[in-house]
Amino acid sequence: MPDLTAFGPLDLVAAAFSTPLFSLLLAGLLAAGILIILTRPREDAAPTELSDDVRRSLRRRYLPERRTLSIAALAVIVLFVGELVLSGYVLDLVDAVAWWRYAAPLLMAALGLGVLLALVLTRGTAPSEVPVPPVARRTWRSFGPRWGIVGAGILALVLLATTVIAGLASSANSRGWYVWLEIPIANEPGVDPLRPWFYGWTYGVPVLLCLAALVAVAWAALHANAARPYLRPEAVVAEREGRRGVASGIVGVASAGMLLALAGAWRLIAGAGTITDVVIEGQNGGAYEATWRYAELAMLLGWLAPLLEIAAFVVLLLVVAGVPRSVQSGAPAVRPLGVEALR
Amino acid sequence: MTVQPLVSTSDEASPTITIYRQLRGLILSGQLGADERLPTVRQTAADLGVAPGTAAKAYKMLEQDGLVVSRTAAGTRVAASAAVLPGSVIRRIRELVDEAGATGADRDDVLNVLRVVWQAEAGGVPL
Repeated sequence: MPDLTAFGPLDLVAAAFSTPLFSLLLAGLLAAGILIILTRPREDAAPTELSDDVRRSLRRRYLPERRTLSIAALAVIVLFVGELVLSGYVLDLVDAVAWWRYAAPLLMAALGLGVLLALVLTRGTAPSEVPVPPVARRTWRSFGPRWGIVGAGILALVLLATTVIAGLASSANSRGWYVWLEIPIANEPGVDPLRPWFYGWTYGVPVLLCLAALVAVAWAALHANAARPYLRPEAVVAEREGRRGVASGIVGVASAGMLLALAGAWRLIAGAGTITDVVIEGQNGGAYEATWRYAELAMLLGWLAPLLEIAAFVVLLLVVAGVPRSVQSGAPAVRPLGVEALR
Repeated sequence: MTVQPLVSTSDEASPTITIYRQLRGLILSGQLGADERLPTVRQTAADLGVAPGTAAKAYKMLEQDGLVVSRTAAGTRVAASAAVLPGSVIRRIRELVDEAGATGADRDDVLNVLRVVWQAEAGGVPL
């Protein structure tokens, strides 16, 4: 039994955050806190003015979509944790290049949103029961959370930049797989460089492909969600709220997939960063100095990776719980003053 | 050059005329601002349950009236000469109404505060 008193508080924190499962645990606590705050009764809740028929139509359209989003978010978590447990404790993958680990959250998110897109295009795009004259152009941005979309865009760019830069810095192993980072021995050019495992093209190319698929599917789902006709004039305000909920879920699942992929990439890059200013004493008394100039940056990314994981899991858990949930729960979706009221 | 009417205006019940009138009303009443993009032909057709060609004819009529301008890749936009307010102002008004609706704010309160703020910002000129 190791003596825990031999480690400092920072060592213990670092050890805890070395596994994404600890991030999931923290995210679970955070998400529970957020849910408790969000489920408090609100004083400004107005009584709904919709008839039972209209409410039924709304539920028939939006409830399956919100459930699909919840299942998609849950699938991303289960796949991520399952892969972690299988590769870490069940399967022997010591020499395997586990490229799928970094692409899997993106692929799972893309598949989940693909199912949602199919649902929106089939069951969710029925013709209006009573035609609603269009007022404004509805695009993929119409119902999306504005800052959420901006954040997702930034995430996609950061993941793209990380993957390309790390890929360019990587080197191939004897089998031609770009999974190494070569760190030269500065004072002994004749000596073979150090070759730690690194987030090279072998990991990066599947990530880029899945990222492209995820962005395309998320865009298509946002567009299909916005462009479909409204059911009836009196349901427009409630439908806008329902579409906002669906759009938030789409952006949330896509962002969480990218956060998990990015966190995995940063963890792997940070692994190479631990080899900084290594000095190896040779047998003949000489010293070999291996220095990677970006080691500090890589270490910083390693510290930030758990924060990305926590953010991703919180978002996914909130989507699983169906936040926001106006149409789904039948809670007030119509307020006394809606955008249509003044039109 | 004489421009032939796309749809006979005597056909009052025509869906094309109905769409034309609705969009014309939105532009002339100021609900669509200058240079603002109209809903796509496909969206209009889907919303109203008509064929895209029917909606496209209504858009052509608006263009002939000088109410909208169609440009390739830029879509159909409200002509600056036909609009009551700039598109940016209309967009902000929509956002204000949206936000007020989402927070459950009272319409009269919002309008009163808008008047007061306008008065303060405009240097004491009452609305």
